[in-house]
Amino acid sequence: MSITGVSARYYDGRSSRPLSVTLSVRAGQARLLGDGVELCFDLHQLRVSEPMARAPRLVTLPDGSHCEIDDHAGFAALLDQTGYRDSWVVRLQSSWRHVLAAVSGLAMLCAAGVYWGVPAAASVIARFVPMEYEASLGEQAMAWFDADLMQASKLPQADRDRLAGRFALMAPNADGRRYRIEFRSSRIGPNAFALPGGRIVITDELIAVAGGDEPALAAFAHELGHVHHRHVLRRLVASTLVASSAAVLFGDWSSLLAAAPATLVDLHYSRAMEMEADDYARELLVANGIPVQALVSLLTALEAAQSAERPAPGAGKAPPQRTPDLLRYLSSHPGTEARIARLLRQQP
Amino acid sequence: MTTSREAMTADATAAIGTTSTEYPIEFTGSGSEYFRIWIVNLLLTVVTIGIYSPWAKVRRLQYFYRNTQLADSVFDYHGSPIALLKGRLIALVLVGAYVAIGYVSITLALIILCGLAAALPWLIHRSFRFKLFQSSYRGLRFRFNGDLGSAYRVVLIPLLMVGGPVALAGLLGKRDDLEDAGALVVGVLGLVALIGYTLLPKFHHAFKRYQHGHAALGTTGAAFDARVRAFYSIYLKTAGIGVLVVALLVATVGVGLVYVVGVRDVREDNTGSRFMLLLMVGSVLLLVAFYFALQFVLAFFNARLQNEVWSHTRLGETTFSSTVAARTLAFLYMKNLLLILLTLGLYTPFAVINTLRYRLQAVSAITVSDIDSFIADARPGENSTTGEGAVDLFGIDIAL
Repeated sequence: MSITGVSARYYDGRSSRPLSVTLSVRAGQARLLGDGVELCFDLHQLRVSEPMARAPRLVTLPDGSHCEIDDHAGFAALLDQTGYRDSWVVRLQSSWRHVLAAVSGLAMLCAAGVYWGVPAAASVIARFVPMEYEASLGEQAMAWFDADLMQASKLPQADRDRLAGRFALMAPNADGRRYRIEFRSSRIGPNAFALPGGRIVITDELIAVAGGDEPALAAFAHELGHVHHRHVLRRLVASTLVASSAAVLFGDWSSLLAAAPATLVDLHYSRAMEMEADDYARELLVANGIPVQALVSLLTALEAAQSAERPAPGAGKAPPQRTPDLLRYLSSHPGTEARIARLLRQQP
Repeated sequence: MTTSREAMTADATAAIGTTSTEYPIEFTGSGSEYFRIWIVNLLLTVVTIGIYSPWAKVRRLQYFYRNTQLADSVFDYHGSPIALLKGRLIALVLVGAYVAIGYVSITLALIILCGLAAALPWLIHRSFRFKLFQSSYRGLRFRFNGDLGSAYRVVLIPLLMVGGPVALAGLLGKRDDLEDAGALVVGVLGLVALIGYTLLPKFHHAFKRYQHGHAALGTTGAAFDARVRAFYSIYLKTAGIGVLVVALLVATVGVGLVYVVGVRDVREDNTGSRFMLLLMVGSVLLLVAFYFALQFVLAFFNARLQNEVWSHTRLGETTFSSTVAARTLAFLYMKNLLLILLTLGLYTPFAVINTLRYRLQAVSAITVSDIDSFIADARPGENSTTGEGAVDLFGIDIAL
């Protein structure tokens, strides 16, 4: 075996004085010689630091003392002789090709995580969230709405009782534990939404726009779909998940960047959830002998009410609003047209 | 053990005629090399749902330490990933328990929170010991000799004075039966918090004195002689710059609004939507501008603080000088922020390296004696891997 010596600075661990030595390898033994140092060790007792372009490599001896080696080429040749191999992480790090593969792997992993992982995890986690907690969230939200945006309903009590009664026949609600319908009047206009814990809030304005019992019931059914799938809670869990993992991964530098994915993902989920709620509503309506048309006409009426609210620019007719694809991904509600088309298409 | 008084005599020795030598720190890390380490760390951390993160941390720190050269020698980091993992698991369990119990009982969660707050000084003490003991230079381990009692003094008092009133106010705010006493309680809490905030530079100074004054390399102890006044000056100037920056932003917004509303009559072209768009773009720009302005304030604070702290830290007969220029650091921060935004985060490792390089290379060690003359603590086990610090069952690392 040939003997190749590499010069090194040896630190004995007792003082900060460098001792200049030569490191050589012979017959499975490493030898440090020079400056009053004469040491010999079995190769397997030594630890070798990972290579770095401009930092010295460190060889640590069993007693914790070590030497620093600046001669990278010479040391690499010496290591080669001993059959030493870098760890796979080091090999991965040192090649740009592997690193690029790792980057694309990471991107795909993140995408997969966002599309499948997060929703799946959210619905599993949501199952473990106690009902009491969900209900208290809903109560807080309701109190906030009542303080700020909502007034008591001006709808005649008889109408409210009739609608709630009919809906209770459609969707049995033992002890009022599944859902609770809240009638309110509000300046936010025609609207209906579900809160965590099963509260379904319907504005008087929506009932007026619906223009009949069946479209109003369709609105209830759609919101019950949200309640049934615990959508609000799942959205909450999902956005918390995405936000916290984004913060862990990228948050050491910019919270601005870390916040963006959560918002995008959140908007996307709510789209999927609208469709899920539509499906639930369709099944509930059909099972109770109400045509799907009730939901369709509700959606149409809502759309009409909204575009009437928008002041028409200029004198002419408003040009039909086309939503670009990117905006469609970003929009929280899927376009009404798309939802109507979907409902009609899936009709048995 | 070298005391601070002995360290003071270094100047006298220098005056007699011993020449002092200046050793500038050199940082040899490169952005493209660190990028590969960073991205592989990120990938493995994601794949292992976070379990790899202690290994990632050790790799990262080893890259930083081993690329930091002083007098032809590098620093090294010896932390064991397993110890770090244990520390993190314990932290995860504690925080998880706190969050889970928070759903069930607020009172219980509060008790746990108080427990965590009471344990914080102990955790910080442990983390200083762990971090320094796992660091070495020329084969000598750094040490942290601060006592636990001082940790409680420098951590708990600020925590109670600054954080306490906020927590209490939040708690009392939920109760309605306190309306009469309310004003008084709010007044007292506000006063305590106000005093707490006024004392913040003093607290910070005490904390740094605890951290730097009790460090040691081998048998050589460190001393910290920065003045409280200097900390007040840094805080006040930072606040002044902050106010100036905000005023500048507000003025810009004012001018912008006048321009949009007054000079150009946007309603002329009949589209309210264009006005809305302008408003949206304007507010996004404002947010970005604010973020950039924040970098300037941050850079000023960090630069001045680093200079103050390192220029007043001694290690035996070795003093340090730090000359970070706030303006250079600010432009570095802004450049980094811009490039990080433009590359969707991929520039991060380059930013970390160039900031580190600038901040480290601004520091040099000045010594009248020989940098070769540090000696290991000869007490059994104090400098080896089986020493006191290494047998810690778990490594606590709090970034400070």
